[in-house]
Amino acid sequence: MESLIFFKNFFKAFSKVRSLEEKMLRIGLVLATALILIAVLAPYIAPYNPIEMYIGAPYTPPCPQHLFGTDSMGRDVFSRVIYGTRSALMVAVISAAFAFAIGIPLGLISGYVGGVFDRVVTLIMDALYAFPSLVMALAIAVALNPGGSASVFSIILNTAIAISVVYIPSYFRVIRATTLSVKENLYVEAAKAIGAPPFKIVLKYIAPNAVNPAIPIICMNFADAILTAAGLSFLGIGLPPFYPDWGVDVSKGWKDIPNGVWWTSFFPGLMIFLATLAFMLISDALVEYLNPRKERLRP
Amino acid sequence: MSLKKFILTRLFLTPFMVLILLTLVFFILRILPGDPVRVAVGPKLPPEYVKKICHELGLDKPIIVQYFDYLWSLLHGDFGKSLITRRSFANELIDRFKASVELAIASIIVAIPLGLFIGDVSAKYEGSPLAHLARLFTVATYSIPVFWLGIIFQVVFGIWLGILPITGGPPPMVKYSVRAITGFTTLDCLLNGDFIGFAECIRHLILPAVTLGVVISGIIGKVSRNALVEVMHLDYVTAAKARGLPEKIIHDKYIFRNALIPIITIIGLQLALLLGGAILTETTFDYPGLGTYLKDAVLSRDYTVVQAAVTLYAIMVAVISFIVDIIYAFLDPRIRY
Amino acid sequence: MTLLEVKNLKVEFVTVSGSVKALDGVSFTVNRGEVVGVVGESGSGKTTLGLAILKILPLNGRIVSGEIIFDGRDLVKLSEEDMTKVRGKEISMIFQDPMTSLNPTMRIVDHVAEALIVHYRLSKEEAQSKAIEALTAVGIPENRVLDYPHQLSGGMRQRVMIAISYALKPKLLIADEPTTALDVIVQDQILDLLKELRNRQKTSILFITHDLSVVADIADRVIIMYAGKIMEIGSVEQIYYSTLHPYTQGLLKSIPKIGSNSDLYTIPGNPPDMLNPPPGCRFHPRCPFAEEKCRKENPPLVEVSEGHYVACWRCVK
Repeated sequence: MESLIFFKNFFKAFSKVRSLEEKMLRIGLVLATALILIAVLAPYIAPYNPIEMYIGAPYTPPCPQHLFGTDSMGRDVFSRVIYGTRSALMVAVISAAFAFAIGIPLGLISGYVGGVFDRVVTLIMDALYAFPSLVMALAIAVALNPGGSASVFSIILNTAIAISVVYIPSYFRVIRATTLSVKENLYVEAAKAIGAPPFKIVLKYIAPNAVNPAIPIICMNFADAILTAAGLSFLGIGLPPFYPDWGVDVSKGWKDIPNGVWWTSFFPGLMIFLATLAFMLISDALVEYLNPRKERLRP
Repeated sequence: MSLKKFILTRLFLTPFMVLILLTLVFFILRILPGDPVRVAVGPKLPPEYVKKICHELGLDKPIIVQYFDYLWSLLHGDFGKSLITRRSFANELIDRFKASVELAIASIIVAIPLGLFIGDVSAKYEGSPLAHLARLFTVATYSIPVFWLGIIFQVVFGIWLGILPITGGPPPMVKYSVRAITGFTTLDCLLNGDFIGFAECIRHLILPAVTLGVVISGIIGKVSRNALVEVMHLDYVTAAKARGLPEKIIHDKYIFRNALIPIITIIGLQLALLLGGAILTETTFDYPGLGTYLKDAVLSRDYTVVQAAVTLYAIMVAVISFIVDIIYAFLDPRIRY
Repeated sequence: MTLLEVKNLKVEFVTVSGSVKALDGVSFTVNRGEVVGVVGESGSGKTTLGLAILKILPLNGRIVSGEIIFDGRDLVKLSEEDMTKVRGKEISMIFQDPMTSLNPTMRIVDHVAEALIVHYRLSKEEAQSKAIEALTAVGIPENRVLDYPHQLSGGMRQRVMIAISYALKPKLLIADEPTTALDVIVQDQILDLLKELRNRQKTSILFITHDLSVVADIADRVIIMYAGKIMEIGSVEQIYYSTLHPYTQGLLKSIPKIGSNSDLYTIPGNPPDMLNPPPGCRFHPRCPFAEEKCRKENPPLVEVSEGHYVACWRCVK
């Protein structure tokens, strides 16, 4: 029911642009859709092979042949940026899926069961939450990727896991709070009274209420995952230098700046910004949109 | 509960929080797959040699024993020995930490006023174009990769305009010429009356501090806007309006004062992050802080240094959350009484 | 004699789903020293009425037209600056939920003292001692004045709100469901306190409530509101004993009576959707006597006997 109302409002938001939130939501959705299309259609959009060297002269400034110029190895920056969308979105999707799959059940169970279990889990989650996320992701990424030659996919997977660990507490906190408040409702008490098994109560009566608060977090998780993954590869942890990835490219291109070559780092950085922005806009608009305070404005 | 009792209880709980964080750090670094020593010293070394190093560093003991060894040596302020240099690195760690503290203070000086201003504007003029602009600023700064912003600043101010140095942190010439009193180079310059050195330090602080400050101001702005808006609609604000209180009193004593708690929380969280060294910003500006130290240790797989640096972060997080809670108690009588 | 005269007041709210006419042409008067009860279901616009008189409507609400003549001045035309001088000092308001109407980070004595400093320019010490005087007058023990709101019970907090009014000596007090959130015994105490305030300071009270039985206890006259419109105005006797409007009759029938075995009466149907109010008389979909005319034309509020007004086609023939 809750989620039905959500989707109703969601489409309403799309049909009529009224408030800032709705504009933010629209821009965010358009950007996000564009990113997904770019990632899927990368081979058709990118004019060159992103890892092929000396396609153009090294350090060619942006020109019609090379929209975003070429890098130190003469690779086409535009093609690399297009392909970079893939690893960014992949990390985002995988980490969101992991964090979602662990954080939400944990929040539901912890909130519903209560007692010592709840307290211990909450304490651990609070500690994780307070801990600087990049440091934690860094530590986990290092532990998972002990160096050497790992496949690109396993590096992406490990990076995503590292980020998801950081994000579990966000889901946990919101879902636990929702569970605690819904648990007190009469219909849950009634279900308990007629002897419905706890598993069923959580799934049927409590979980649907967790849908709305979880949606903005998923978007925020996406945004943060893109940003954190870019940060990790900027630091040189994770993907190998040849791989087309925004963070990797910024960290390489950054060294060209003293020579006046700005395009090798500017464009991949811009993409990180736009991709993060897309999901942040959606998340921020949705938080406001789903805020019950808005309803209170009615007489 | 009296204030004293609250502080004592909280003080009592802080070691537990530290313990949880340390345990988390230890096991995350140890339980996950991969043999740290082999990676650190290189896979080509003969196994007997690796064994010898492991034994030297106590890494061949059962994990639980290692865990207690780790806690025990921490209690003595012993961070262990580097896997790579096999020397104690506590001094270097503290030195790097102090540099990060300087950057943290400088950036928080930028971030707090800017963030509160942004948050205030977007809450006060809710619905106006100005508020929308402030709102978009917070979303944009949240989304901007800090290293990219740093690079842009470097290009604009360091290369095009050529007015500020693109590297951060106290220049070595100043650092090693000034007599160390506190270990904080900027402060030492001031204490020694070396104003040229001081100015040099500040010049090198500006770009990293502004970069970090802008990004963090967005987060502070976002949180404070939400907190202010939330309080603005509460009954006691309407009641205060109905009582004919002037706008300023309502804003300061009724809205801002009550919105402070989430704002202080986020500032505390950000400060913990900063004090531990903002890894990305420090890397961008080649700033010799804890962040770059951690990064270098990670890249060279110097596992004990990583563990020590992360431990320092954990302690910082616990200490700051303790301080934040104490501030809460002063701000909110519901906690105090 | 007349302290407040509201003429044809219209208030509108802009919401996500459209605009709502929360008050649609409301007119009434309040005399000096008089207690007027405003009765209606939730959503009838009675709270909006209080906020509109003080001009503290939420951001999305505004006064569309009408006059609010208070003590010879039209508040609608008054500047925001002059309005702050009216608020609290001349018209004060107490709210439904005493748990949330005090600033949690301020001592209760400061709530009173602060208002005194702002409106009467007293020194800190004077304001403090006057505040303590007012608080003890409403029954708060002197050793509690330095407490914070969360240390007090709901009834005590409502007393603090009344003490602020008591100290500021306003001419009109708007009490928006001041007893709804309290339990019955405390309700009586608060009602007694309000009566005392009226007797001592000759304060007029606009008493907003959904509860007709509370009104009988305190009010001189009663205004019955439904869906943003006034249905009936009369003295307590007129409303209770010569009830004219079917809605008022329904309300009276739904008061539980001690010793009665029959089921509690409820007015059939639900309050109208304020986004799309029904045409004609707003009450007609729930009215047992509704006729063709009621569905089409809105009945005017007319005086049918001395001081007894009603808006119903059955009474205007």
